[in-house]
Amino acid sequence: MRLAIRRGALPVADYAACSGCALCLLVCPIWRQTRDIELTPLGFSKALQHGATVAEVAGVAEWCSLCGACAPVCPERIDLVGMLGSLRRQLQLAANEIQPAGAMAGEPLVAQSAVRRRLSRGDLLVIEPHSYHADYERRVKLYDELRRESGCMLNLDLQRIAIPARLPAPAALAGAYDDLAQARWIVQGYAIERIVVEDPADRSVFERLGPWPVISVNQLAEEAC
Amino acid sequence: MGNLDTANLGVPGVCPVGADSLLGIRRQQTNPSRWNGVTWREFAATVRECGIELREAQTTRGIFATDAGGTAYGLPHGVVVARSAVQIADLLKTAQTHRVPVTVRGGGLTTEGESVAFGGVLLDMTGMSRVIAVDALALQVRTEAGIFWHALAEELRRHDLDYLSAPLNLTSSVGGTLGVGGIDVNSARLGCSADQALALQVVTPTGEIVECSDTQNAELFRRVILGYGQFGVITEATLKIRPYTPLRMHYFHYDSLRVAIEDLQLLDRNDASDYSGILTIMDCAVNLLVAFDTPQREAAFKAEWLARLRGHGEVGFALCLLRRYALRPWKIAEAWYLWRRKRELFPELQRPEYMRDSTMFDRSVVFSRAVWKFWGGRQMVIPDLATSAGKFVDAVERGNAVCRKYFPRYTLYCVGIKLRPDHREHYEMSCIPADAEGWAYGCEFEPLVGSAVYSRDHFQSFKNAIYDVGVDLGASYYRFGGMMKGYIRRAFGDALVDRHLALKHQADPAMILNRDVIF
Repeated sequence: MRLAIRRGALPVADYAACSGCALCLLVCPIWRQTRDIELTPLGFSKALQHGATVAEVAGVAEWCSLCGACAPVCPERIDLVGMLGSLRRQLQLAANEIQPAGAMAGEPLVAQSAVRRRLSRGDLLVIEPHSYHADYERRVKLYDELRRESGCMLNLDLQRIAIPARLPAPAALAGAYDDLAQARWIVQGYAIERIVVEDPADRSVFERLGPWPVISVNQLAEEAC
Repeated sequence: MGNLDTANLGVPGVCPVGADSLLGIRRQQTNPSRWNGVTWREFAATVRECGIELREAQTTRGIFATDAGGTAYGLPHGVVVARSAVQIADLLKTAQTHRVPVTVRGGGLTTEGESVAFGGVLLDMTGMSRVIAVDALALQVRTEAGIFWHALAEELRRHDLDYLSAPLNLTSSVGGTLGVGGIDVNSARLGCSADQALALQVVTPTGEIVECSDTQNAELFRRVILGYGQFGVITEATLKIRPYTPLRMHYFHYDSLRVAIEDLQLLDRNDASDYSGILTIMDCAVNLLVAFDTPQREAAFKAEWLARLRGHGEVGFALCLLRRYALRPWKIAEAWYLWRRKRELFPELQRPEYMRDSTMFDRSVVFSRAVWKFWGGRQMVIPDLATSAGKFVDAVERGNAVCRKYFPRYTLYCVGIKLRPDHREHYEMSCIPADAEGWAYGCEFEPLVGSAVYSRDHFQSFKNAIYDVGVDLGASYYRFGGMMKGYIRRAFGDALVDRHLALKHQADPAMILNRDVIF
């Protein structure tokens, strides 16, 4: 384990603690697209446990969108996002280029009561996953309350992890990742009247999917002012 | 060979079940020897000619070096990610020709090394994990068999549907579960997970793609269900499903295992609940979980059965424990452990985002996350005993005594399994004991290892002691393959084992498929 760290100067993150439960795999959008364990946090951690060098796990780093879905579900509390972010930096892949423009710092707009009042049953609120997962314990409660109050639908899976509508496309993903398939999965089975996106960049995907009107939370906030 | 020929079995041939299965010989850990790789190069070349991607990098193979048990280690020569039944058929045909072992892996949640490849090819079935069709009217789903139960639940929920029963672990695969049984807290009512399978697509060890069910290629169906992967690779499954319902959950607390089990069996016999099971924190802190799909069933339970249960509510049980430890002040460390465990565990089972109006949503997520958080670890040994209803209290009490001898902290998990008389032949040489009528009962004995370090010999001695109880009682086991296969002849008898061995030789002439799991 330490050998791999010395050879590749990997960050000291406890990938050694991975017990292989695969809960991270269930929520990984790359897994959903590829069904390939090698490209998931589980594959990454296990490969490192077996002596992989930075170069040998470069594929995972290139594919990962750092959406952060794996971190809240890891029972060993491994800093998967931190590990993959560091790896991207070492590989001189621009970690920042895959952060969505809409990634929100601080409190989300839906925390404002004026915005919440504008959401109703029939709305599908598409949560921006990066900020949601980074502040999971608090936000899972916030959005659960929002769902109870307004009756709106959310892009959360059964583990209450946000399903990304769109993955910013690093080189390896270009052409391999199907945004529309992902968006289709988000809306599947719901009786939707309107789609409200937190990340304005998600609008285009849902507009292509149709037939629902798509607005952003920013617009709701402007209406509320 | 769409079906197995049970009339012309011939001689069983060489028996790979360990010699240490014989009575009077001390049983040792039976890790199989690594396949020597003599035909690997030719095999790899032929597989690639078929257009199959074969991964041989050390880091790829390392991903699959162990299973959830974390005590068996082995590396395959190469890994194939399953993509289609045709691809698997080509792989198995080539493997038969070159006599290369093929180990099939779903979620990798075995604990005795059953999904660890000791050389040869590891076939990663999670590559085939998509839902093919949901029929909401007929209440059936057709799915690829490498799918995790969680992923299946996600798809079914979009239709307001649910599977019947599945292990309390989201990362078990459907194919793997159907191959061994699968138990849930509703198994006392709905049977084991394997009983919900209506039809399967199977790739036989010789590479034929066969559809089988109780009416089509029935012998193959019977052997593949609960067959520990010996007779084919399940590639697709048609499962019975049901409308989704959240749970109305109740916990009753006992300080006696015997009383809790008697109450569990009372509920099961009388169909008094939809879900029931026992989970212990210690043998003096036993939780009986009882739950319902509808308010009507819950009301009927309260009217007729609640008063007959001898367990306590939370406050009542706290008072019992106070009295217990007031009289035994030298056991204060035990009391502290109980309090701490309860304080950590119970809130996790009642997280507000999963509770609404006193009902629990997504129980499989709640339990599965708790399982990994509170019982998971890098090493897990979970020996078990499966008996008829009448022998169960004795089996659990004796198994509990073994646990006390070997580990300071451990958990027992007990459930009933409703048996289907029409599936009696499915249960042959499986975890379902031959003498069980109506219900079988299973108990898992799991030491809480935490950060402690135990040798493999310590674990193995513990498992042997539990399994010896089973031999004495005439029980069966859920985990009798892999490292525990030394018990197979003692548990099932020579006649039955020889019959299955002959069937195995017939179905898998080079004995390549899941070698050393059973045969």
